[in-house]
Amino acid sequence: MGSLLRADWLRIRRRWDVWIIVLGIPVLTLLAYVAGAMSAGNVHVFSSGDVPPELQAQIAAEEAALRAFSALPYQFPRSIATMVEGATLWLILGAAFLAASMLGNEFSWGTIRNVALFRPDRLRYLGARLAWLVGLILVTFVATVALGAIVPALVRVDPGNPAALTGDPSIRGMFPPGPTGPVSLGGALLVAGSLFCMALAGMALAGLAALKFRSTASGILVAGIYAIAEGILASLWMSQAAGDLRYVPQMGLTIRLSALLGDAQVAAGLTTAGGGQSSSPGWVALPPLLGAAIVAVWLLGLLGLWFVVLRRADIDE
Amino acid sequence: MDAAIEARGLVRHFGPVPAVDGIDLYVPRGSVYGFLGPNGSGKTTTIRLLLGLLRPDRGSISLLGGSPHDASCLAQVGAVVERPAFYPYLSAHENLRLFATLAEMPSAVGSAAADRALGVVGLTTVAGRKVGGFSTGMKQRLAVALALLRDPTLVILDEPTNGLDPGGVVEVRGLIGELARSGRTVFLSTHVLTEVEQLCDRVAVLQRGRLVAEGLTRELLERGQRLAIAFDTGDEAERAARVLADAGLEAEAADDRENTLLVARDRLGSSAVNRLLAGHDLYPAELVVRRASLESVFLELTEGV
Repeated sequence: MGSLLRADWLRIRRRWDVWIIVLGIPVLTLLAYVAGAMSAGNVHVFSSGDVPPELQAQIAAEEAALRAFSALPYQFPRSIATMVEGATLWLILGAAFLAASMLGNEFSWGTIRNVALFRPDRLRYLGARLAWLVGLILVTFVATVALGAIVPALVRVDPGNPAALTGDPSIRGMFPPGPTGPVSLGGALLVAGSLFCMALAGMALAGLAALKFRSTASGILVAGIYAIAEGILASLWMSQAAGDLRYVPQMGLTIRLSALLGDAQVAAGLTTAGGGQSSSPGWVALPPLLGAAIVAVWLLGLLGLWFVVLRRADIDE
Repeated sequence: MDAAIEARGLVRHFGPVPAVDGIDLYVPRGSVYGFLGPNGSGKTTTIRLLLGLLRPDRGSISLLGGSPHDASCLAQVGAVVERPAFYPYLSAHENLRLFATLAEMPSAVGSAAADRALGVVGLTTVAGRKVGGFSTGMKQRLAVALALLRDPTLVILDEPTNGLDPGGVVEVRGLIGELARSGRTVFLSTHVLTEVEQLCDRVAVLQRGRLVAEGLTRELLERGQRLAIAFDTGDEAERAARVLADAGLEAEAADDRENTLLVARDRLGSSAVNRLLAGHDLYPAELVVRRASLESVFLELTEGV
């Protein structure tokens, strides 16, 4: 296994596209975060003409509450969740591209044939490749999380007056329903972990398609089509089905992943309601642990299929 | 004799079409074995089956006494299969080092093996250049270098001179000769029949997934030999053709010379034919054995199938 990992390193270290993804995603996310943080304190309630003194006090209180609300995402440790949530799309797409590219290119270049001649134990070869992929995605993730933890110390955002958020019921009504208090480090990491699962799912789906269809482009395309098709079919099913059949679409991968993120956000105190399709008619909430177990089964199943596909594949490149 | 390659009853279909249809192969160790066939006859599929890249529907394969799926067995095999395949963003040396690493060679040993293999194929001066910028011929040489990287006992070469300029063809041909002289077994699939004629001591001819001939190259060439019997007049040639036909020998008129008949040599030798004709008061002006080219034998074997 060691020689397979070393050989992969010789390959990967010269691939600029891999490093652009691994290093570029945290950097881009950081830029977006800093831009958001710098504008967070820039909150004003506009008024025109002469404002009576009692209204001036009300406006000042609203401004303090707004400033506190807009600063919330940039306070440690919630900044970790903010940073990772900002990178969600990039992380999923990046993981999918890495998997499709690192597996599909072996077929389009024909190098899979040489690999098979030098290492006929295909499953170990794939195991090493999987280890590298997970490692690279993890590096991207850890870098993003670490930046989320460090940046609040470097880019200071005026926290405003958090007490103003909850002090006056009329002001409280200005904000979306849900918790507005501090988030624990564990909660932020829970959100980050659920997004990591999303990235792994993107990797597993695109990797499987790349192995099956033997091309990078097909890998990404098929994974994207699957995600869209599952969403549409599940919505249709949920709006029509009754009884136990309502549970069937909720076993879908993308639905479970968005529910996993929603559950994590609720558990972290970022929101009171799950995201994704939880507001769709026919939605049945599953216990969070059961939802997480279904995601785990999906991931293991998809990755298991990688090995089944390659083990049985004819290498006719 | 011990077999480097032994295959029995190999069958492989792609859909309903049999690409390889019941092939038996026996390649003795130390031989240079020519594998011939027109395009689409199943040569490359057979090679892929031998190397474990494809799985046969039926049949068995033994490579150097082991299975083609066995790493220790494949470690003794070097192969060039169809078009060369490398990582375009790596240099020639890095590509070879990578595969040396895959072959579990220590770093220094792998690097030295890469240097040696690049030297053998004359790519030392471009070892540091990215393969993406290589010409087809340079990639083909690099493919040969990769095949030699592990100092193999058995070398399987599928069209190794494809894309090479005339100088490169001569070099690779010389290289194959050297491999053969060093005692390695060489399994050579090629379209260039002169290559086979010059290099191979055994040959197999494949047509539509079946072996149509197999044996020593010398014997195959002898099978195609003709007796050219020249007469002074056309009348004598016509009479001789009838005499030969009565004796069960099919004679055809030579295209390149008047009053000359061509007779297959495998049933009667020169002296027997001469005696037969003399018995009918026919005396050839000239009677010579025309050596067949492998090309004519190949065409004869593959056109009729």
